[in-house]
Amino acid sequence: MEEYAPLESTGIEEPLDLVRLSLDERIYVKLRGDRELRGKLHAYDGHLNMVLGDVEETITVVDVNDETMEEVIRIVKRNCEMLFVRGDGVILVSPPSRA
Amino acid sequence: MSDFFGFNTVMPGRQGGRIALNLEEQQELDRQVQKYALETGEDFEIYDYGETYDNLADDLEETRDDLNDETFGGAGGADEGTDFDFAKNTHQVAPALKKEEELYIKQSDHSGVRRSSFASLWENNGNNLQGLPEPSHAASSIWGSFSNTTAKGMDIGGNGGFAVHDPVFGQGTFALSRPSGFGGNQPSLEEIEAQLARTAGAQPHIQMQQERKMMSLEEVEAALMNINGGRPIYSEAMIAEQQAKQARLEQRRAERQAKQAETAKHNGLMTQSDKDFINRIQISQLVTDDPYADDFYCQVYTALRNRHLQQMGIPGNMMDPEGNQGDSRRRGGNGRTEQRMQQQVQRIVSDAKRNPKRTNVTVEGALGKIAVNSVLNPRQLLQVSKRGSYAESSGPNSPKPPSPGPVSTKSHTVLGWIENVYTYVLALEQKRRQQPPPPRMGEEEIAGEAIRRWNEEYGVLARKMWNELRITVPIGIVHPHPFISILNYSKGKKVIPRVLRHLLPEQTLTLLTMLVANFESLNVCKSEVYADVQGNQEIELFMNTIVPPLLGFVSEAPFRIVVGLLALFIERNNMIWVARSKPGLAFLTLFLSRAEILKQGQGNYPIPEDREVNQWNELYHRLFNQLQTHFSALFMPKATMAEDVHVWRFLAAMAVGATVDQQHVLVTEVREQVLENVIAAQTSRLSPEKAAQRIGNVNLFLHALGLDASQVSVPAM
Repeated sequence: MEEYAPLESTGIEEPLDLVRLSLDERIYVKLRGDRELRGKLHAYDGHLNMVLGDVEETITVVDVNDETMEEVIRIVKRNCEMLFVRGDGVILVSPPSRA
Repeated sequence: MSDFFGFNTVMPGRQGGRIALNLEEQQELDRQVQKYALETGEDFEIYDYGETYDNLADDLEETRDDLNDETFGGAGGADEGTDFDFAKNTHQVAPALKKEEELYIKQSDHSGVRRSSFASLWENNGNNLQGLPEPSHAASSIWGSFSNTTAKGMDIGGNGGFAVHDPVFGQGTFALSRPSGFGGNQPSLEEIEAQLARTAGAQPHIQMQQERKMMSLEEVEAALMNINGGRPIYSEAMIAEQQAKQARLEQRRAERQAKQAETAKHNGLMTQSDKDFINRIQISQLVTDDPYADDFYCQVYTALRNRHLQQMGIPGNMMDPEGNQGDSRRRGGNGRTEQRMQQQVQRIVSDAKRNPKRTNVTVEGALGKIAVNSVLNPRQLLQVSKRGSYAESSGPNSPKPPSPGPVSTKSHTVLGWIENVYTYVLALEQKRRQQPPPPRMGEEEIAGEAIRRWNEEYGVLARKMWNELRITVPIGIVHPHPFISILNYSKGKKVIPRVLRHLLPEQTLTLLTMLVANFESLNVCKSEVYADVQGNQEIELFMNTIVPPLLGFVSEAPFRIVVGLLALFIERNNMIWVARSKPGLAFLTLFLSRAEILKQGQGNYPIPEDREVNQWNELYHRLFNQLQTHFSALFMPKATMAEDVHVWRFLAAMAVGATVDQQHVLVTEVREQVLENVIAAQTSRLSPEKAAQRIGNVNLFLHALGLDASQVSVPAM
């Protein structure tokens, strides 16, 4: 029954297995464009397309003042019940820090 | 006319209607025909009417062709006149028309009308569509002028165009006297109106013509109305609108044609087999040998939605069960294409089945491998060697079943187990769907073989799943027990109902035993989980996923098992601790009520033996003694009353089996809660529903004692 490819009792064989372990768990995803997501991983695929539930998205915006050239960093947050993340924007996936 | 496109069209010469053959050939042919006629008994004379032809047609008189000669300039050589010689006329005015058109084009460009001339438009549409010969240059100008008159309802479409020899406009003069310096965005309209006014035979137009440059649209209109006795022939706005609409339409059509013309040079580049090939490549990306599994979510969603709709009284099949509404929309018209498509899909599927799992091909002489990629098998970018350096701890490449030896409960490991459980559960569910049908008459042998094989495979999977659950790992080696660690994850809880469906009864009992024995290490038993939202969700999940199936199991268990389970429960766990958790209390209630039912001998279960009943009573007393003085503490301090219902249920279950003394103890301990609820319900602080709920909760307990909430005397406030 090798086609069902159970994870070995030792766990991990390839990087995506680590992501599999996080199914149904809350994860942290860093995206291109200064975006971060925290949410529950419902599904993913080999391209790291993901479906996240109960997501908090954090967008970091840098506003440059035209006159003084001063950079003001602004953080925008929004919440989504369900989110589809296209894999090409994903930089990092990790379990949220359990601090 | 001896040459028809280079073919020799000279027919064999004829003689009296018969093909001229020389004499020998003639005789030979006759002989052969006679011989054949003798042989077949066929009378060939009737087919030979060369000699019987009576030249009747020569005597036919065709009437009303007397003027043919005059019309066509035939044999009579009469002068046919020039009445019909349009070409000559138009040829004379052609230079003028051409000049006119140039002016017009210039003007059109200036005024922002997008099409260059009507003539070109008609060349695009009318002529191509109707297959008319290309008109001469001058004629096209005429076409252009007349196209405007369609707005007035004059039918000059198609062939009628040639018949326009309209006395009203007087062809030649019309074109020549066309005004050119007229402003406005639809100059042709005014022109026509002016023309109409002028040629209608009325007097004032001469003057108008002289001051044409200063005239406005309204004036023309007014003049027109004069001429026609004060009645406008048509509404100005309507015409303008209609023209604009037509212009839009024609522009769109022109654009489309331009686009078509642009792509037309690629027409016919691909043969049908080329197209089929491309189709095949595209479709093959979607082909799968297990459509159910690949379309799992759609299938389940459809099933759920249909059920939901049926519950609401809407027949489920109103929705397309295949979910291909889009297809049916597209289905109109090109049925043949679709059929071909379906055939192709079928072919591809069977191809895919014939050589499954082939991911790359090596062509002889090629430098590399050709990867056969699909949606399901995307191009692999990383080659991670299997069984890398991670495998040290479990020994080299041994997919051995989980050892009952030392097991760590690090989160990764546990999560890995859970994933494996899911893998096997999914595989088992898939197997269930592929269960061979029961054998039909005369096919028992073959079907029996299939069923046996299926059973074997199913059993293997079920065993693997059982191993992954790690229920049989002895207690006390690691803490918490591996199975409890699995249950401490919400996905671990969620999988349990699905797992239980594939377990044998004794396996379910083992599972329940293990759960009961390690109950207090469940995270849902810890009092701090009640503190936050997530903890409460976990408890909800436990109550919804694990309790119901096990409740079903216990409610069919014999007395002996219930006694054993409760004994283990009390033995292995701190009752005061466990009973303060919702799940713990639920299990206690479950055992107590089941035992009570069995003691009374309900259903078809035998009344338990005295020894067992004694055993039970002893257990009950132990439980009661442990919980005594803690009954009121079972109520959660901040819980709203509706959440207390499980406590009242437990108290009721306790009360049923209690002795009189114990009942007294119970009532004394929870007296305060009873009073509190009754008072709260009787004062008007609560809505009627909530009040009824509180009374109902209290009554759960009081009824078990043979009392009722109405008997409770509320002390004076």
